[in-house]
Amino acid sequence: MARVSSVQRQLATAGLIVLGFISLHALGALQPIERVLVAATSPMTRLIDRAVRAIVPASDLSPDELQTRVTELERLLAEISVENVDLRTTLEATGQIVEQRAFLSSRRLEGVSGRIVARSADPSIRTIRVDVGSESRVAIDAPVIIANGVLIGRVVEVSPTTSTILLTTDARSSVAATISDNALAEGVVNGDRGLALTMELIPQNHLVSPGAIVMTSGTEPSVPRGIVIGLVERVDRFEGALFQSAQLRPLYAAPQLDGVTIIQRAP
Amino acid sequence: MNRTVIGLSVAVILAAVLHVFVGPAVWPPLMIASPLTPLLLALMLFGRYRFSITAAVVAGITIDLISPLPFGVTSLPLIIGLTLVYVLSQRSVTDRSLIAFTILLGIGLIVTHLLQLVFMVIIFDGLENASITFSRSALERHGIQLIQQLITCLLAYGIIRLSGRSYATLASRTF
Repeated sequence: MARVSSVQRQLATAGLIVLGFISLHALGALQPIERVLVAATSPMTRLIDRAVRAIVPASDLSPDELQTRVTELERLLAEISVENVDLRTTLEATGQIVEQRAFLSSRRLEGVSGRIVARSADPSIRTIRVDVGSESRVAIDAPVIIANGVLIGRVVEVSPTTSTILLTTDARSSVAATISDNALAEGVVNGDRGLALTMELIPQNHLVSPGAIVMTSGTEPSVPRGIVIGLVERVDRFEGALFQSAQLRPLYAAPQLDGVTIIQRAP
Repeated sequence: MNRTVIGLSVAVILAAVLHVFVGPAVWPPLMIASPLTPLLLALMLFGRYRFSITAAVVAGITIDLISPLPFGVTSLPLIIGLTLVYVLSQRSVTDRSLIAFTILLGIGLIVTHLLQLVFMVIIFDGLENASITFSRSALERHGIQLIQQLITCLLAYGIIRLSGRSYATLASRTF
């Protein structure tokens, strides 16, 4: 019985010693001892480690094979990274197309979605080329929209499989428009040096305020009414003039365009 | 030096060699720690109380001091394992068979390994990484180590029995 209690005492003491060391370690008091011990045992552990690795290699592959594998994995990583970027772009474009489809459906219009395959290299000429053409019932002058019905331009050239679109900001672009809260305030929206939009020929007797939405008027046969073109930023009105004009802010950024929808002519 | 210590020393060497070939870790201090645990538990069962407790404290703390693993992961489970094996052996003092020996050591080793995993979570990995610490691969690694340690124990048992010493005689002796 006396021996049993002695063993229990020894076990308890051992436990307390270990707990004491754990506490000292947590306080950082053992760091000098640890450093000395690690330094002293390192040569031996390195030696044993080397001997063991000579018997049992860490990997079944040779160093050359491992290097080849690393190179292969790096190449794969690069491929996957590129693929990831492509997938993200596709996902973004898909989201835009879904939005455009919803707009067309709400307006009982038909459209075909396309991806941009080329952009004009000349910054003063705002044109893009998409991968759908006359085979998809795309016609000259057809309006092109993005997002929830924002007009970005019109088709100016069509081949069986591609279409060239002149963006509204191009100086050659011209679209009949009206102010959303004043249907009688009609005018023509022209592109302004490839950067902005200007609405001209607005009769003087109609009040146009900054922030008003400008949309297509529907007077052109190929462009339905109610497609948003931009927002009025500034109104230029001169006493005695017959018309007033307004500077508009386009609702798209040309470099960020990806998926677009071309409104089709009725079959 | 008696035959028991010689027998156990042979078992340590065999266990270390076994560890090199089937053990999951070949870092030298772990090569020592892995067979040390079952052998100290076995010594406890054979009645070498003072020796096994002292060896557990000295070796456990030394390995903790030089090991990159969290401090206490070797020594604390070892002491708790020894205590558990001691308590269990006192309760089954009349049964000295190989089966009883294996079961007692098996329980001791499983508890020791589980404690190591728990301590790894509490002290080192953090609760948010508990799923990694207790992952299938980690448990498999501990399982392999456990089997290897049990083999070590059986080697020790066989060597001791072959040496002609009876369990009862050994159990009555202490250092």
